[in-house]
Amino acid sequence: MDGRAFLDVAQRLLQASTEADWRSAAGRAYYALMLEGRAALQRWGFTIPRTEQIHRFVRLHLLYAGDTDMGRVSQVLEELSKLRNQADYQIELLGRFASNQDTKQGLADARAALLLLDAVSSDAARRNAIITAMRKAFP
Amino acid sequence: MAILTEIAVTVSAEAAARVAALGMQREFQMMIDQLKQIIPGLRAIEVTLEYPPDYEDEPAVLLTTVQPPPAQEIDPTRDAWRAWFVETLPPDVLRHFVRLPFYEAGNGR
Repeated sequence: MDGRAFLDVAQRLLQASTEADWRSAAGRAYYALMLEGRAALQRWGFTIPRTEQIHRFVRLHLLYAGDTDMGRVSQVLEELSKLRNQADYQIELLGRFASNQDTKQGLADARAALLLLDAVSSDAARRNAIITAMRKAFP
Repeated sequence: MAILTEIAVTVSAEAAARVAALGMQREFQMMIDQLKQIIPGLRAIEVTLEYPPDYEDEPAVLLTTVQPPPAQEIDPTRDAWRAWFVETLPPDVLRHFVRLPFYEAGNGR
């Protein structure tokens, strides 16, 4: 399966009715985007770490792509990671998970970021420029 | 006539120390000023230092904007912020900061 399949799971959880559902949806949205970013980097010839450093690896490669859309994708990824951290670990605080509003926005962000990532994947010239910038930043 | 109200900005000691250690006080102030400009009804900005709880990464300075729920389906301030952020500041700055909205329906949490 592709990472983006998690978006459908996130959508179903978002439409459910409990705090636990909305918190879980945040995690699925984050992993959908992170895994799609990882897959793109793998297709583009990067050696992917097998450890927990994968999160940082994907975020920073997208950030240093020399492309504002990829910068946006990196930002969405970082925002979703913070949302997921709060969803999974700060369970003593109802806070933003009193409704599904925050997760709903995060899921929309993940979908929009995937469109940006797909646009780069299908544009060879742009993709090559991005790969060059990434290799320069991380020789 | 527009009524200007003071927006509370609270910065934790840890976050302030991190910004100072990075030498990015000027960029940080630019972020605060920009958030105040682009978010209608912004109630507060809370700045904290966040560590990933279950994987290895550097800590991030998290700017939480306390704001009303968006009138539209999608909150336009999210992408407006990102556009300004990535077009204004270099990756060496961006990597240390992240903004996350907190939608507050009433006047208290």
